Amino acid sequence: MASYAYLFKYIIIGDTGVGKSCLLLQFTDNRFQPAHDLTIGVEFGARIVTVGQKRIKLQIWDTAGQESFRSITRSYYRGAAGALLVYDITRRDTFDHLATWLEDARKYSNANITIMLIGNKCDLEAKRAVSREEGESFARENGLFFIETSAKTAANVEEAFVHTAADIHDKIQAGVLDVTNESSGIKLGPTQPNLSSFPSGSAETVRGCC
Amino acid sequence: MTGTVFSLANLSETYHGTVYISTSFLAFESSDYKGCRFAIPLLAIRRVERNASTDPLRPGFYLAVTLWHKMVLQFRIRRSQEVCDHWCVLLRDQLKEFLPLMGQLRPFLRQCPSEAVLLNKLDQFKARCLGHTFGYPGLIKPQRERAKLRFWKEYLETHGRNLTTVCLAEFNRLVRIGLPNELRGEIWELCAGSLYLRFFHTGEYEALLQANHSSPGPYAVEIEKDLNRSLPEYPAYQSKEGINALRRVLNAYSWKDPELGYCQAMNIVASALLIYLDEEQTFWVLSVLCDRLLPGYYSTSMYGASLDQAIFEHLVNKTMPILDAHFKQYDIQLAVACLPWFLTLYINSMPLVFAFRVLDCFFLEGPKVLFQIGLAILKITGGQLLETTDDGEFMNVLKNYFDTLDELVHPESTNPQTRQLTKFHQLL
Repeated sequence: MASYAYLFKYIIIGDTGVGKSCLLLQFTDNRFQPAHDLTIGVEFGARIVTVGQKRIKLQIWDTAGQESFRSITRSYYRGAAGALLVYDITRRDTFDHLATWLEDARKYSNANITIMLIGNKCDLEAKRAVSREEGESFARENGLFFIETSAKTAANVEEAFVHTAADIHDKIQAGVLDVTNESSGIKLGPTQPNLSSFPSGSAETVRGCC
Repeated sequence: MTGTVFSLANLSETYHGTVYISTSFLAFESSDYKGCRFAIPLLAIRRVERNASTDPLRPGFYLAVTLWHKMVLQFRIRRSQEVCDHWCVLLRDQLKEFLPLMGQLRPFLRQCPSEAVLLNKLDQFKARCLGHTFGYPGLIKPQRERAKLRFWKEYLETHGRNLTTVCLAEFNRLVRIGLPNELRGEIWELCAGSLYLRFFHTGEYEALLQANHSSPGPYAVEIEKDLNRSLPEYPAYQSKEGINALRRVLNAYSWKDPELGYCQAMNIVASALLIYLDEEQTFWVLSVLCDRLLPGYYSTSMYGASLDQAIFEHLVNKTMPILDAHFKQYDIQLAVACLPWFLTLYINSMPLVFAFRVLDCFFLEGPKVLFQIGLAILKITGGQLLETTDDGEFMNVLKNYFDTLDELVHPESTNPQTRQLTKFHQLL
């Protein structure tokens, strides 16, 4: 098993058909698959990224977007350190629904969750129905990060995931997030070989050596 | 009428049970361990004869019911003459009601593959399911298919076919070994009971499509989004033909039941059914699924699926307490894996060829099969599951298990039969 310093739990939420699963697949497998199975409930993905000099494993929960699944997927918000809230820049309604998604995310996940607002399908400029400014201002008003991506061309996909990880990492460094608390959505990685000589594998020790 | 003894005129076995008459059916269910059940539309009955028993050891009345294909159902009714008279009058009056409708039977039967099997004309039969055009999933072994069809032909010859099938233990056994592709759809319909719905509502599906073809309805947009996300790897769903069929079925269902409308996961189930059933058949199977077999699964709140999930978790707690405690300790949510099993009847979890075997059992025995399979999966993978410490690893173990269902369990065994057993056999 590849070693890593931390494991962050992410959730991807947003209306059905905005491209949540495609974003995940582009991020984990570097490919775009327009015809893929519909997500029923939740799908999982994982990848290791490097932030600063630390390897961080992202465990990503990709949720179903249809209304019927809302009551079920809410229980998956628990213990997420990061949330990617996705809308489709070519479909106005998916942007209009952001407020209810955000409300759910605030209500059912932990208070310090890092939320990245993602306007997906930015390769379809001709069909754009939501301007970049609108996305930016929604993010600003609600204290979210914002980025426009294309799961098809891979534009900004890496950035969306990594930037979120960097913010969570900053929060750990600043002591805002407690890594020993399960509900923070963060776990320490398996004890690393080069650290085995340290008397204890606690977070403080790991941080001290880097 | 309770205390009735049933037998088929051409066979010696007898079954004790209850015979029922409803406005449209003559039905029987045995109360003995052997298991015998059937529901035969009154339309299929051609003749009824009644005789008083001459055997003092077997008192009562004999009733011989002849069906359109000359099979004779025999009932010995152990009741007084009065009761028997009353019952026979009821039956006669009901049968009269159906006289003008007799003509409906023939055109319906022409669409049944079982009739083609019996006439040895299966090769000329034009099934309208997608599998007939685009191929059935999995590696087809023609020899095995032929053998299965031969067993079924024997069964249908002596026990009735399609609307008149008398289901005995042998019927259950034949379903459990896996249905032949050509008969699978019809047996599903028979077991689910939707065969009768379709028979009594001939033309309703077409009429729904006609009546709504200019008004797409409130669910059309949602349905449209999911058409390309329903078994996309199956060739029919890379073509207009398959996508159009799926679109029509899902829209028609949303018009039939606007309160339920359309719910994701229905698309997965419908797209799988269409491989073995035509649109109208799929429509009626969906109707049985939503109304009777899985109530509340595809509603806006999915309360049926949530309830079954809670029951399933309770069963896990009762039957596998160590595993249950492990999940609780590591905060692993069982529903993450299991909810999709129930909602899609394992169709999007297992390779299709195995999911269809599960569906065979599901239609035969009902929703309890979903629970049994789920518990078996957890039991078989239990050892590995105990080593997982978060939901991601938990899902990986199960995913890996499903991906290797065709692997042999005992490849080293000296017994050739044991050696052939796959993980899927072990699961069933």
